[in-house]
Amino acid sequence: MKRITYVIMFVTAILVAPRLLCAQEVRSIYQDLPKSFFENPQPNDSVWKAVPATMVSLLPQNITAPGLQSPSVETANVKSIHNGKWMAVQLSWADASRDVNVDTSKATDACAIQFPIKGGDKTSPFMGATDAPVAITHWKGIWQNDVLGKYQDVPDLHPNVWVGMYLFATGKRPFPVTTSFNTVAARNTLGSIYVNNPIAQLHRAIPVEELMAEGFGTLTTQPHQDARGNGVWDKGTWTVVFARPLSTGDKHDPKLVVGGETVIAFAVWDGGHKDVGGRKNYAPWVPIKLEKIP
Amino acid sequence: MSEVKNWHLNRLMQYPYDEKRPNKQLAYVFDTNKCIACQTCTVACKTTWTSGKGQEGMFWNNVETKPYGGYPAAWDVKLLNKMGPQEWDGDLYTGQTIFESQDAGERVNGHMPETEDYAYPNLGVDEISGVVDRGAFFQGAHNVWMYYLARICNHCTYPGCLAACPRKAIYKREQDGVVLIDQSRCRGYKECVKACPYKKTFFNMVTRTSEKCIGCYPLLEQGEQPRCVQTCIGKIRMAGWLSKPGEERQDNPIDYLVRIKKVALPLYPQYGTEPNVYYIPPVHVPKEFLWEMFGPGAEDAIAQYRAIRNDPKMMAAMVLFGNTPKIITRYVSDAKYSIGYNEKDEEVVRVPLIEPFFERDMFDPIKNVYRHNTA
Ligand code: SF4
Ligand code: SF4
Repeated sequence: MKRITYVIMFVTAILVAPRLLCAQEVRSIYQDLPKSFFENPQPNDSVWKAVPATMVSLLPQNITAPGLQSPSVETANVKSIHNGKWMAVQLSWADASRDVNVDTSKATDACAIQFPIKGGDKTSPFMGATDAPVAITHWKGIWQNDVLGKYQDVPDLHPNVWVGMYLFATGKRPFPVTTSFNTVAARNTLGSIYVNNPIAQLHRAIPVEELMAEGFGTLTTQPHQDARGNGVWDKGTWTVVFARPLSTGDKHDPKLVVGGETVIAFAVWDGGHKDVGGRKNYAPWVPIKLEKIP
Repeated sequence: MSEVKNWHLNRLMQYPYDEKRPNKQLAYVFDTNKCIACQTCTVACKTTWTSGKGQEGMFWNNVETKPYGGYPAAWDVKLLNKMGPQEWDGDLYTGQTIFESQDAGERVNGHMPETEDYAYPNLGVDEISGVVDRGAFFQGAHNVWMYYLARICNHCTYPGCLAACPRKAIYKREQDGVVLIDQSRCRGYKECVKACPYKKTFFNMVTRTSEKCIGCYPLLEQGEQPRCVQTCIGKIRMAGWLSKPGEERQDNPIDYLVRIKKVALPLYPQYGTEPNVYYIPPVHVPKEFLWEMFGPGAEDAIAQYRAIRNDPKMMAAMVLFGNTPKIITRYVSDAKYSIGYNEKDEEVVRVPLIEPFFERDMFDPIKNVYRHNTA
């Protein structure tokens, strides 16, 4: 039953988007690059200039609610490179504004890539299916700011805020959240931070998160984080690089084989359009081939 | 979508999940006629639960002045406007709920407030409905009006917030009907903020997740009423357990006021969430406004309220308000007292139906002074 459901969803997606029928293949080209290239990947590294790009069309996610009725980002460019041990995927798209704040009426720019764990024909591109999980790596602009030491604090959104006191906070006004709330009692006033919610991290080390999913609403942070990434915005374009070891031994990770082929899916969120969660633009499975080492 | 029974609307309605009423349902009665907008409840809640960073503009309890006040700004009129005119046929709601009128791509018909909408929690405070005519004087009834509306999460039977969450991070507790956001599961999509017609889930810009009133469940678990109820200066509030429809008991004060006398009414029942804060409507407000806000039972509720002297049981229920921190599950009254009992059937409060009356002499011979209150 489950399988029929996602086959139908896939067919629907193809029918509504004939241009996807000609979705190209992404080639992950081989280059003898050091591990450091992947461990702290730089989106604008000159190595990328020579790598051929594949353009993917993005569709508004309208298979499940909440969703988008029309796309906020229509295309993205994809490049990929590997060194036999690590692989990197570069995703770039046009976005006139660098939106990296979150609040009730604000959202952050973001993107994600997705691989099947078992094989593209065994699961759904739409967040996977029961017993057919997918592995997702998610990057957010606001996380990039976090690792740059610019964790969004209240005065960043409300410069004139004045608060008499914060219970249990230490240090001096304006009591930066990253330094004044380190005691247990102070952390206890920051609900999801106190319970170590993976999206509520005051001291994030990398701007990407590895997740798994087995269908809509099941997105879960992986216990072991193997992915790396970075993103930069320059003159109306976001360029984000994801990197990961080809094989990690982690059962939640995809196995990527040199000379082999798998599929990859993409998602892009425009913060300025208030995209968040299922309100996103996506490209379902695109074949990706890892070039042989000559 | 499932078909569920909503007793506020007297009909079946669409809801994304099956009808599943909790074993006990937390419910409150607020008497709007007694609220003085002292905001003691607001501050009690604030200092207890929302003193942290990112919660500066967050009030799980707020008290606003109607008709113009609202926190977040215009929370109610924006949705009323979006939904457009809707109809009641007697006490049957024939209009659409927020679960029946959503656009494509939405789970619930809602609207997302702007960040700034939370910046003025006291917007419209004490503003009256219209202009006082030049030369007007008091003739026993004011020709303009206002009243205070104290608001918290309604711990709805069919929560809009819960229906909207694509991650099922919001749940309604089996043991007391309290609606909670799982702080470790929420990913900050804010769908609940958009969907709650009462705007009682809030986004925390520092923790990047949504937060809401928790009904002071640690107190409920000890048989005590929530903080905002315990601290209410005007004694306008009572919290307790509302029985399932058809199982109401005459000796449960909440059942008596809400289901049997129908003197306390849900706020904007037309949205369809079956909210569980019940308001005794303000007696001096035009009926059209009350219909919109509390449904078609508003005039009857006021008539019942005005006739309280003929109903000793209602009187006995009302005098229990604000006189004990404990949750009263049963009450009895005699000629003099209203007596409340807790779940273990222990007496927790005894309140005189009429306060003792003392008359003092005009002249105080000890202090050698006249007692009077005129200048
Ligand atoms: S009042 Fe709002 S936040 Fe509270 S349960 Fe109802 S829909 Fe959810
Ligand atoms: S404490 Fe009671 S009287 Fe005072 S504002 Fe709150 S509800 Fe009204």
